[in-house]
Amino acid sequence: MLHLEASRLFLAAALVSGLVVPTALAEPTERPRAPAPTPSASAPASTAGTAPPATGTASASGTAPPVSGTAPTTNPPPIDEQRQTALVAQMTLKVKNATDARKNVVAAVRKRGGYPMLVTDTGVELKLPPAALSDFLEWLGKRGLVVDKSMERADLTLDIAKLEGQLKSKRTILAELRSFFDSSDVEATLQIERSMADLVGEIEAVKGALRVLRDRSEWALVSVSFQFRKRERIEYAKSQFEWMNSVKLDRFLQEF
Amino acid sequence: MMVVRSSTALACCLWLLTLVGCARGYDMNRPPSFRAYEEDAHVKMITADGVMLKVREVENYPKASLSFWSDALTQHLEHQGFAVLGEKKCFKSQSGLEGCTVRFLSPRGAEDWVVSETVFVSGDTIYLVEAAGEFERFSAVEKELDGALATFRLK
Repeated sequence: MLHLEASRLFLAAALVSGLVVPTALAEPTERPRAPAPTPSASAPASTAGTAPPATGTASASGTAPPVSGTAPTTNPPPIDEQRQTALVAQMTLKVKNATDARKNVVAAVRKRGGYPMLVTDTGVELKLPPAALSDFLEWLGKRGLVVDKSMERADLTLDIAKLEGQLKSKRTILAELRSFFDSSDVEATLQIERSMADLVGEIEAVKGALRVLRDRSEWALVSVSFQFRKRERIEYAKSQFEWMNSVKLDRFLQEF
Repeated sequence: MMVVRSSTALACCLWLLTLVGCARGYDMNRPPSFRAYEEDAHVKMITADGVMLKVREVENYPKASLSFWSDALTQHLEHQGFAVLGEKKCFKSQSGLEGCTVRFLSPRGAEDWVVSETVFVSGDTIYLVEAAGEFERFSAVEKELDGALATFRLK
């Protein structure tokens, strides 16, 4: 028991002294973002987000544009560029030779800066930069007969902003907990340590969710199927014209 | 005696075949890859790899035009879940008869099948040229099938 407490104390002391740095406190592993604001511009967590400064000057936001002592000379990006959206496209394409078509599709997506995620006999799943999506779909549509196609767009801006806010506030709390170590007795130190461990877990979870959302916004997902699978079976629908009710593939095959 | 009987039987067969052929109010050329079931009352053909073609007649009732029936058929099959392949192709046959072809895609087991419906309308009769086959096999004979459809004629 004593040994356990001693090890926890050592861990707490190590945390305070900086010998052990929790991963949540270490350098963020997210994709490169806009440079951080100047130290004096640190803001409460609730202001974190992706919104640009309203006045064009240095902002308190955690994702503000770079400021090097002077006001930015460029205007804020257009509204569309600020939005972080997930694009998912699906196309069913009938081609005479699926093997050749598959090779051509993979080559075309690589040429446009993308890559295949899954390649099967009946289709491919691809990721490519959103900017190249419409050009790629246009090219794809000319490779065969388009049986079915769809495109979904989901706005992730709010979800990402919420997670960034959560991450920032959790990091602030974690830093504050660290500062309590100096004036705490053993019992309080152990309690702080437990809280910190919980918080580190939460921070890691938020960081993971953020990574997933950012990946969805940075890559468009395209699913190309060479097989018509929209409906596994044909539904019977009665026509008002009697002879049309006999136009069926099954009947044709049976009576042939 | 045997020779006489054989020749009589042969003549009867030929006469029956002629009668069957004459009974049809229509005809069309056989696409090169297809083989015909000659004894059938209607045009019926098949390729070695199983692409099938058959012609049937239905009553033009309520009496309507070619575009009416081809549109109605397209909507009906789409409603059932068939996917339209390409666009409706309307043409005039070599005999001057107007026809429209619509091709559909339908999943059948692990395969995608093409169902081709060509409609000709003449008076009180609708002539339906129906063909079906697995997508790749159908695609291989699609052009010669289009060529044969252009030879569809009424007698």
